[in-house]
Amino acid sequence: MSRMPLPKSDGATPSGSPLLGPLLSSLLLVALGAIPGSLLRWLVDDLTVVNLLGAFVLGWLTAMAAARPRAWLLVGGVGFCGSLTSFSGWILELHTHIQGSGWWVALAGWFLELTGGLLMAALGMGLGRWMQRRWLPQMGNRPRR
Amino acid sequence: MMPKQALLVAAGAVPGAWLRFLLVNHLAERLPSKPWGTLIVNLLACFVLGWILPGLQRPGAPPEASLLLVTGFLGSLSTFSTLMVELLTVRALGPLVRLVFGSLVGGFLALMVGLVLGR
Repeated sequence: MSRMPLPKSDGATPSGSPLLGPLLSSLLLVALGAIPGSLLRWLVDDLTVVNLLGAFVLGWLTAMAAARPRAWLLVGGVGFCGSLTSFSGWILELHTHIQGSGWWVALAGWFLELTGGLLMAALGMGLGRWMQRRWLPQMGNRPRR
Repeated sequence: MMPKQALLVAAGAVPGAWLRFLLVNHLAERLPSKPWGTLIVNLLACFVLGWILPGLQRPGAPPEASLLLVTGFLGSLSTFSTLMVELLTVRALGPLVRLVFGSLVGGFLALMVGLVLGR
């Protein structure tokens, strides 16, 4: 199998379907998460809500990913949470609020979403770590790939 | 949910997520840490958003283009959740402040430059 430029920071070895190869399987898994993620963002139609929700879910997924296959983060993290949340929309809202309510209100809103996002990510991570500890005996039996 | 509109959003979202995945992996080897790659992809999305937005808001512009390119492609290309989780992994104050201000100032400037060029 040829070596592909897969992320090293996940701490996992490249794996994938032998039919598709590591890059194509990764792209397939990312697409599998990106479709429901983007549709949910479009249906909810409130960027702050999906951004905070996505930060929480990704924090949880990241903490849970340690004992799980790489596909977990590709579908749920890169695909679903990455597409559910949007940075460009967040900056566009800042721009819209500057024109509508002035610089200070817009910057305060931007800062609130930043601190809220960090808090939700930390809460999700905390929950994931707690669940890992709580169900560690069962999870220890899973093959670490 | 309108099937045609949902299809447009999804059709834009898949290449957006792919480009983010490939670019972040490509940049991860060339930058000091992973959040910088995420930041660059986010700034790229802000620039393109500013660049195409004036055209999409012109009277007579098809609403389908906005769903495909803005909601689908750019919404998926840029990410908020990854940035938040990656910011939590930054332990030093200096890089953390640079990343936060890079997101705010860089994102806003990228959008403005795009808006001026797209006018």
